[in-house]
Amino acid sequence: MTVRSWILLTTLALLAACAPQEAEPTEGGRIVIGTSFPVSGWNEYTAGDIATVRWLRRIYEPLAVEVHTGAPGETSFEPRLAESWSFDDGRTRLTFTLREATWSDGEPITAEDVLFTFEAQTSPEVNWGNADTKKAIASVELDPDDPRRVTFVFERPGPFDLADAIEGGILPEHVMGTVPFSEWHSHDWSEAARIGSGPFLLADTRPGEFILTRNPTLSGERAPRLDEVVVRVIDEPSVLMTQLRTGELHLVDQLAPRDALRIEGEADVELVEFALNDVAFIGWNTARPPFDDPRVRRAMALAIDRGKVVEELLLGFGEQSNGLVPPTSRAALPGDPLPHDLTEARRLLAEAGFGPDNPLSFELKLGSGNALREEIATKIQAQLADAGVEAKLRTMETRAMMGDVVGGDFDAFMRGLAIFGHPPIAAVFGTEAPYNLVKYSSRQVDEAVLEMNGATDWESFKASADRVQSVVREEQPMTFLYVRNGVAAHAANVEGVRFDAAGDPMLRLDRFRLR
Amino acid sequence: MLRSFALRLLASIPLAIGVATLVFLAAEAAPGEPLDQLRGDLPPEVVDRMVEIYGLDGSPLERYLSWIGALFLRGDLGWSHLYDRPVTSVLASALWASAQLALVALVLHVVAGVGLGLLSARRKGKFDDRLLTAVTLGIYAMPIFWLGLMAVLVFGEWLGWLPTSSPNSPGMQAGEAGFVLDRLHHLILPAGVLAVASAAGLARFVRAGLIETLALPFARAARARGLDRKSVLVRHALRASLLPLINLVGLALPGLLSGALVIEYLYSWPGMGRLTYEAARGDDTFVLLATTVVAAWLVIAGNLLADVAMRWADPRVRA
Repeated sequence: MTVRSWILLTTLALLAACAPQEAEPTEGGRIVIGTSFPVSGWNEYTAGDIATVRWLRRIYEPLAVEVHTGAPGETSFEPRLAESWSFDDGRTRLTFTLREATWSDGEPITAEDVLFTFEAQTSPEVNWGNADTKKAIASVELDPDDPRRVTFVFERPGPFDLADAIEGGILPEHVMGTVPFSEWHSHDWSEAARIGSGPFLLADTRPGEFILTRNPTLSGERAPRLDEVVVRVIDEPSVLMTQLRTGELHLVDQLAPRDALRIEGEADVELVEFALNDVAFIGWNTARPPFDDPRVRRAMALAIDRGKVVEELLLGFGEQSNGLVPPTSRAALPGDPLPHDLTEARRLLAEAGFGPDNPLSFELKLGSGNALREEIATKIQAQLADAGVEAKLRTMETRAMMGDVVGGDFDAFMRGLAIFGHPPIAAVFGTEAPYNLVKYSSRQVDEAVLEMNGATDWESFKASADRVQSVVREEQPMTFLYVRNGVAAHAANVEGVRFDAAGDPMLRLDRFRLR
Repeated sequence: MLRSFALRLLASIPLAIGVATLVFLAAEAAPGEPLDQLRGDLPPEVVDRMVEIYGLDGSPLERYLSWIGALFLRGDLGWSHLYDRPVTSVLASALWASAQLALVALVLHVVAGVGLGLLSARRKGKFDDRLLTAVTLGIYAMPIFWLGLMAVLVFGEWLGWLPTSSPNSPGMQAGEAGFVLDRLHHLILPAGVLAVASAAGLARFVRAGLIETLALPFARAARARGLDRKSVLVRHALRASLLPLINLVGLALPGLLSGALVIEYLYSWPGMGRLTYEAARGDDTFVLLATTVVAAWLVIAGNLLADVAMRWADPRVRA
């Protein structure tokens, strides 16, 4: 080899050594997550908002979780505390077998804990907001011969039995059972949350920040890859963005569409879009003119160009909505949303007696504090003006707005609903339905709701649900606008970020790791 | 002086009760019913039961008597449904956080305000006075939110010198080595912005006061006796001009303690201002009542302290 070749080879070797290397993923370490959603307590059943539950479920695992498979509307169930489950032939008894596991203090996790959790979930004193999911469960039975077997007994088979049974994290009876249910709402649960079954435990909590630490009793595949997760509540979006750029934060759990586009493409930051199932709608007061006339409501729906709203204000992070149920659910109504058709909208309005000589004018109420929704309302106001309709926007404090809505004092209001699990079709559209805020009443819908409530299998449920949603699509008591997707951003050195469970974006937190 | 203080303190008690009553009435007058915000998200019977559990049911008079009784007899401010903790505990940690921010901001505010005012008065009419006047007026006119955002951009993002949120580095525990320094490091931006924004006003005030005092006969006499301009300014004029500052600081302190809402929101500082903001957003009636009452009481206490300090500092008031 010549001297020249030696020099060339040495130079190449040096260059190769100096080239930036892809760092290897490491086990352990700490990540800092920024969020604008504060945690409202450390007990899922007394502080059950979604923002809180996603952290509590990392401490108290449920029996199983429902995740998206990737195909639209398709989900599957992954075991968590349960290793298996099966229905009996009549599909009224669902038996779970728990895996052999202990709480982080060494106590075994048993069927007694499942029963205790069920009692808490259905206790009027605990007053869990999601107790409806347990309505169809008549009892929970223990197996005297096997402390790891527990059976949920249903009054009759139903299409959501498994999803309903697994809803909610399982609590340690030996820790939380010492506090009577009547005192659960006046108890500080932050100490209790230091003992759990999930990959993380609460290590510390202080105003605006809490720390989750790895559960030391887990090993192998079940053990989390990180040692510690620090979660910081930061209200101001621009500060969240700054901290992500400067490396103070490793992940921001949700960005506004405009911020997401701004940060997209920046080196060292990656975006992850995920199903938020946040359905925005306008509710029309069907109990009083002018929206007691279905033609007027349909005209409003036709005059709104939802495609433009999604494109120009959601910046593509979402899609037009065809109804209450988002497309990630298999209960979603098939077909396209109503088109934007100004000519038909004007014709319907004229038929209902509105036109240039008698223009339609109404007040659209919306809650304050949601800048994106305010922008969208302004856009809709302009679109309705093209159809000769005057929408007077009134932004109000949310409590005041909902007070007016519940009291029936409104023409129209705009808000969003997060839809997960059991689709609340019957709870929203039936004449006597608890969430029928628009006072909608339809014989056809009521009949179909009755059928839905009595459905024992998925097919009959879906057929009735489609009937309800088709009538609603025609009569538009609520005009569904869009389904917004969430956008998270994380530093490029964080691996394993995957959000595939609607309503529980932190499900895979134990798989996150640093590179 | 002690007797006078005790009398003032006694006189404050009905005022404190009156303020608490007014705050309660204002909360009652707000449109909507407690927890209405949750309607539409939770079943009506669950919301109704929550209203009952958190003691938000009953007639306004019953609620008032129960709340004011618990407040004055047991020091109990109710339960925060937003934080799932007693309001007193939530409030105590927020007050402590605000106190730290207020203290540092106040020191910077006084030092910068008096220093700049002194410099400006000393160089009255000269280029540096004009420059300082323009700068302080400019800062005074800036919205504090904008000033705070610019500070985040410059010192946080561009220069990367200072942390832009929270009172400590992630995972830093009290008692750990370096905890205090870390806290001070995190205080620089929020306290600095608060101080700069308010020091601009104070500097203008001090400058005007000094110029006015320097024109008084005693200052001119001092100069005539041969004292140099600097001694007259610092030893005589400044002392005389600082008396009104006691009132100003006394009134500024409760404002800072009860929460520099914008700054605490912007820098995620877990103090009274941020607590008030979160409580308003989350419809947490008892926290909102508590923060408002405490803010009002702090104003009363600030006034009282300012009066006492004036009596101590100014023989004319004592007489």
